[in-house]
Amino acid sequence: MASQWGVVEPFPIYLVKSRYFLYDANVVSHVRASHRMCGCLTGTLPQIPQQNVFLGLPLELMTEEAALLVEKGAGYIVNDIQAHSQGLKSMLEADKAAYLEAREAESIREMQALQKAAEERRKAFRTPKPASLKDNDGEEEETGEEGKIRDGEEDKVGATVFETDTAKTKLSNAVDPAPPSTLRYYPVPATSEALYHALPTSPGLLEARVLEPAPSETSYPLYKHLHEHNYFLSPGLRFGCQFMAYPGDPLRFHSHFVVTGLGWDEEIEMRDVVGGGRLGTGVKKAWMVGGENKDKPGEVRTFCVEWGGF
Amino acid sequence: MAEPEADNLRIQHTNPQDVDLSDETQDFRFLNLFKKADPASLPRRGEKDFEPDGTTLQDTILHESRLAMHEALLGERKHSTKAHVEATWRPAQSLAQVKVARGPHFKTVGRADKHGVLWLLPEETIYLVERGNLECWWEEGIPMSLQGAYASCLDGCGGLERYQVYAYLKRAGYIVQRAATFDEEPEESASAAVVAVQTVQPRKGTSGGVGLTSIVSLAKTFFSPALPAHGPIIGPGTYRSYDAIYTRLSLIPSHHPPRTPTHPVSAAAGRAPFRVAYNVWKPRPSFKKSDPPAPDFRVAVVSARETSLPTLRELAALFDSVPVDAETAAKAQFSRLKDGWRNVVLAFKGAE
Repeated sequence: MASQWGVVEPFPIYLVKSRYFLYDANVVSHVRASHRMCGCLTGTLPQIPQQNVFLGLPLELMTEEAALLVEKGAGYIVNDIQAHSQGLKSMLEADKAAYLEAREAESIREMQALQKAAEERRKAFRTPKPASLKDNDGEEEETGEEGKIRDGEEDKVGATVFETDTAKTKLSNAVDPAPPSTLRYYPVPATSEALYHALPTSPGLLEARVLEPAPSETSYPLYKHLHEHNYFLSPGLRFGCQFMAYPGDPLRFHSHFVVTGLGWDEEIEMRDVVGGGRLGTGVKKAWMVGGENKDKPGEVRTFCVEWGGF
Repeated sequence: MAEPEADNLRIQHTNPQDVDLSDETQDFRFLNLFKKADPASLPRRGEKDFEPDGTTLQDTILHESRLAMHEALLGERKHSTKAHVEATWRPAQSLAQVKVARGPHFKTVGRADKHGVLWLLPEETIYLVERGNLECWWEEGIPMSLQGAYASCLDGCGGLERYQVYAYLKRAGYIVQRAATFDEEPEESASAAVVAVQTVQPRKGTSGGVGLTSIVSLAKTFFSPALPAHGPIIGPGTYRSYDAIYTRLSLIPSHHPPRTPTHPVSAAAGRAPFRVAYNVWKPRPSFKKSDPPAPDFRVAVVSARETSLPTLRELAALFDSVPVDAETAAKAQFSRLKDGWRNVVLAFKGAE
C-alpha cells in the first residue's frame, strides 16, 4: 500500500541508542497524515541552521509512537548501528566505485544546471537593450547590476566601465563558467543508501520482535486510548506532564489537555491534583489523568481537573 | 471567591520577551518569512485554531502547512567547493579525522593533536554533517548520509540528550566545548561518597556549629550553658550573644559554600547525569579554542524521563566540581543571588 507520499508499509523505524528515528521526509509526512503522529523534529534545518524555532530531520519518535506503529503493522524496528556495519561489510568494491562515480556525475550535473540557470537569469537581464543604453551612464548601471549578481566575483569590471566596447567583451568573457571540475556541490543525503545499509530481510523481521519498543505500562494505554479518539499526542515535558493532547494536527491547533497516565488503583496526592489542575488551567488547557483497568484490558477511563474557584 | 487579578493566570498578560517560540509547533508556512527577516516577523501565539471545524478553509490551511513542512524537510544539506571540508570517521578513536579545515566553524570546533591532525568529536561531526558543512567518510571509502552519521557517531556523544543539548546551544550561537568531567571515571564510587559531603556539614556536638571557626565565638559558646540531653534546646542560663543562641537552634545540617577558589576538576564530579558535560561561552570573536577563558555557563544534561530530582549528595558532588566564583561578592545583589558562588545549568531535553 503506497500512500500519497509514496511510502510503502511497513516502513523501517531506525533504532539508535534506544531512540527511534525517521530520516525520510516522505515517511515523516506519511506518519503525520495517516497515523496522526508528529514525533519531534530534532535536527538542524540546513536552510536556516542558526535558530531553534524550525527544526529538521531526523524525526525522533516517542517510544509510545514507535510501539503503536509496530503494533499496527505500519512499521518495524531496525537496529541502525547494525544495519550500517553489516551493509558496509558486505559492500562490493565494484558497487562502491559505481556509486561514487554516479554521485560525482550527479553533483557536477547539478552544478552545471545551476550555472546555466544563473546564466539564463543574466541573459534575461541583458537582452532588452535599447540603443540609449549605449551611452556611458547606462553601461555603468548595467555593470553595477552584473557585479551584484555575480556576488562581486568580478570587481575588475567596474574599473573598465568607461571604455564602453572593451568592457562589453570583458563582460562576456567573465560570464564563462568555471570549469565544472573545479566547482561543484557536495550534498549529504538524509537517508542511507541500500549500498552500505543492510535492511533486514524477512527472516530479519522476526529478530525485530526483540527490538519491540517497551513503553511505560501506565502511560501507553492512555496514549493509545487518546490516539484512537483522534487526538494528536506530543511529549509534555514543557508543561510538566507526560503528553500534550491536540484535537488535530499541532501545526494548526492548540492543545486541549495536559495528560498524565496513572495506574488503575494508584493513589494521587491532593497536592498533585491541585498542582496539575492549576497548571492546566493556567495555560488554558485541562489537566487530564487516566489509566487502564487491569481487570478489563482495553478499558481506559480519563478524568479532567480544572481550577475553578467560585 | 474572587481571585486577586495578579494571581489569576488567565488574566495575566504575557511579556513578549518571555515568549519562547520554540515552545510549540510552529507553522512551517512562515519558514520563508523567518528566513528573510528577523524572528520578530513570526506570528505570535494564538494564531492557531481551537479545534477542527470541518471547513474546507481549515483543511486547506493545514494542508498548506504540511506541504511547507515537507518542502522544508526536503531541503538539501550541501556546500560548494569553496567551503568543502572532508573528514574520515575513525571508529576506533570515536573521532573524525579532518583532511583540510576550512570555514568559521573551526574557530571553535575540533582539536589538533601533536602531529597537527585536526580531530572532531562525535557531536561536532554530527552537527557539521547535519548543517551540510561537512562531508564525512567511513573508513570503507563511502561518504556518510545523515542517517549514517547518527548511527556511527551518536554512541560517542554520551547519549542523544547530550547531543541535542549540544546542537541546541550551537544553533543558538553559543560556543560549546566538552567539560573535563564529560566522561565518567569508572572507579570513583568509593571516593565520590566521601568527597561528596564535604560542603554539607552536620552540626557537631555542643561546641561545633555554623561558622564557629574564630576563637572569639568559640569562647562565647564555651561559657554558655551546656546543651542538655532533654528539655528545651535553649535552656535557662546566661547567654552573652545572639550567636550562642542561634548556634543551638541550627540542628539540621546546612550548606556552606566555600568562599575561596578550589581546584574542582580533581574533586570527584558526581555520577552521571549530574556531572558538568559542557562548558558554554557566549559568542565572542576573540575566542581561542586552545586556550579558552573561564566558561560563562556550565551545563549538565539530564533526561527528564529517566531521572528524578537530584539528591543532596548528588547536588553537592555536582557543585564540588565547579570552581567558586571569586567575583560574586563584588556583584550587585540581584546577580549575586542569581549567580551564587557556584552555578551549574541543568539542561533537560524538551522533546521527550
